[in-house]
Amino acid sequence: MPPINKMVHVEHLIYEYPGLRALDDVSFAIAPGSITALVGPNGAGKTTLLRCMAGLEQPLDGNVTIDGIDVLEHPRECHRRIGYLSDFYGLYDALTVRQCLHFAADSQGVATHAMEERIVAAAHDVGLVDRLDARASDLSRGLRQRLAIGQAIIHAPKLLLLDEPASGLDPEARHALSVLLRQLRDRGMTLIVSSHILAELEEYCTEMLILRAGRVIEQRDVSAAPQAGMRLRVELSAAVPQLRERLATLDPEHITIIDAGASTAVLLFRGDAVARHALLKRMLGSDLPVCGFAEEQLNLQDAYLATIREVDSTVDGAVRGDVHGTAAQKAAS
Amino acid sequence: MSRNPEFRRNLVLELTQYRLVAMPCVLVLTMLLAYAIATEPGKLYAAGWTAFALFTAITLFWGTQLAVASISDEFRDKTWDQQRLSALDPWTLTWGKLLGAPVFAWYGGAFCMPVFIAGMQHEPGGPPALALAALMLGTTLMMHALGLLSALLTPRSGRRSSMAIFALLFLLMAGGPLVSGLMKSDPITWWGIRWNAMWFSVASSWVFAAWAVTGVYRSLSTELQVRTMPVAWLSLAAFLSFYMTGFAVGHMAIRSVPTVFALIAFGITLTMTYASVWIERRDVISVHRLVLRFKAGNMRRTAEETPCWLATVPFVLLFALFLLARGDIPVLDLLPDRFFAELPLTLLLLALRDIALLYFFSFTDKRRNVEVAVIVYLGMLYWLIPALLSALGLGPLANLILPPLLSNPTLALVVAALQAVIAAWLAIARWRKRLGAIAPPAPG
Repeated sequence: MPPINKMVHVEHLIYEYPGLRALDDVSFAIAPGSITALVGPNGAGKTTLLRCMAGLEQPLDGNVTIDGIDVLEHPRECHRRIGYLSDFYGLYDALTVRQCLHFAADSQGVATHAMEERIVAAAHDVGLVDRLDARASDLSRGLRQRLAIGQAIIHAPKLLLLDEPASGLDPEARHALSVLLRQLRDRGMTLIVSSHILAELEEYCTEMLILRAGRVIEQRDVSAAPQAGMRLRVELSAAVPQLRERLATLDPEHITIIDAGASTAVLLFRGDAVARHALLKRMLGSDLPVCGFAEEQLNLQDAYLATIREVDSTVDGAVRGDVHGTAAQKAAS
Repeated sequence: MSRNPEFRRNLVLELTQYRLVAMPCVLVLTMLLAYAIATEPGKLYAAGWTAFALFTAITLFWGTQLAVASISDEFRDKTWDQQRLSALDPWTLTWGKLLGAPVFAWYGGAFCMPVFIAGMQHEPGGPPALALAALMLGTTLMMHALGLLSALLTPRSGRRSSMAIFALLFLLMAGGPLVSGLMKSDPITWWGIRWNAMWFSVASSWVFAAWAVTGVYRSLSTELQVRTMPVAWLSLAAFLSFYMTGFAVGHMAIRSVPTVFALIAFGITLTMTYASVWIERRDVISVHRLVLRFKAGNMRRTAEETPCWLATVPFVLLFALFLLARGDIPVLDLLPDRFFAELPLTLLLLALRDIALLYFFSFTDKRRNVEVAVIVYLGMLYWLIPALLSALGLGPLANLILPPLLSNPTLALVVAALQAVIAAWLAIARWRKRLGAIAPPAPG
């Protein structure tokens, strides 16, 4: 039974392509009114997950519930509640912007008397009011993207799924997109946005769902990320060989190394001021020529990379444990 | 229909002002030319046949091409997901596409048809104009629906040619009586009743058009994720069996109607099984999904996931066993006793062997041209190797490759069963191996 206070509830979802398990026992829940960044490397299963949630693909096993409705059992009912923008979306090029929006509204069952109002509202939301009579084929890439989003939101869905919505957009269009997504969230819409460009997601996301090799490895509230950890930049006056390894041994309880060069390192630090002072003291005590030790704003990319590295180190540890365990068993036998 | 968004979209795209004017101009001028160059008293007759030819070219052939494009363009332009995510139900989309996509072709046909009817009625002794017009309308609707169906099934099977098999099968079933109706003036005897041949053909064309539309509806239901069981497929098999048996009943040589029905039903269900397996999905995952649903005891989902070919197999087996049990009863005076006894069961086993081989080759990494490869291998099994062995004087060995269906029916049955078991074992073994290769990715 899915929790009633969640907009999206995914349980033990498995999806296979011939020769590949794309989603492997994926489970998570998403609260209404949130904007979730769905992140992960290429081939992680982001698009497959979004398509399963949209009821466009049939998983091998598992359940997806949207707004209390089982997507796999009642996909058509779910379609009325969701808007979906595919990574490789298409438009009816021969139609005008107004005709495209009219068709989208009509096929989503928008009442005739509300049609014109919805078309204008959607065009206004995506900044296409002055181009309602332009053909879709005459629009630039950025404007086509906006029209596609306009079609996806024309029926005021409760959940909007966007697959790489900002790819190919210029910085101005990206900013406009982030403004639009925040507006939609403020109206009560729940959004799930998949993207490679974490910096852009940072502007509007409240949650982050990290997918890797078909599995959810982390779901976190990124709106509260600064409280969860801080980004510390460490600068040394001279290059130190194996800086990453030396830093890693100093305080493994409180730090995760995000990046490390020969004379600089960026750490994710979780702890209070006393722990931070203790860390600095240990650095100096271990003859590291520290000349800079300052807090930087934690961003989504850091949180993502930190999570990936934490998982990697856990797996490495587990593998090392397995190897040691196997060696010990061999020695014992 | 006016509230059908898909139909309205097609109206906007297809019926532009320019086209609305240009089409009648071209048609009227062409028919006027035919009228002008013909001599009295055949002027109207010539214009009528010209209109008929124009209707065939524009509404039937071009309209079918437009119907096919209404689906294939959606795939090409990546707009199909938008349709699949809409709130439109399968019936709305079926009619929106079926009547909307070729609406311009129908618009042209609407100018041709009255001229054709007028031309034919004016000619004494000519074909019955109204019946021929009704036949053309039914056939055109059927062809448009088949065009839509072929476009819908093409991406699923990944092969354009596979749909041609289905279309040919359908046309074969539907086309025979239609053509015979056109050619003959004698009444048709169907289920012992004499029917006017022309109007029988008209009725048949509309009934087959309805089946083709049903096929589009079911395919669109699948695309729109509306769960369906293969009920329509089995209903089509039942209808075709009933329809075809009707032509045999009343024949002087027939003694047993149930046996004739079983024989015809066997032939139809076997053909449908064999034809559909080439069209449907045959990958490791679709089989895995079916097995999982079955193991979970979820019979409704199992039925929904069951491919059409598998749904007809129990009926093929039923009719084959019935014919085996009734083997001593001669079906036709023209054929020897027990002619049909073992043969149906042997043919079913050979079909199952071929299906297993098709699955075996479909469970590979390189799935390009699987159907062509299997056709080549089957050609070797059915002809090349037996012919070679016979030429080398190894006839008994050839019988182990190509079962002696007529000369030794019992041996043929045993050989076919053996081959079916081996092919099934190969397919299952490869399926398990491939399934094992889909290992869950490493954590992290």
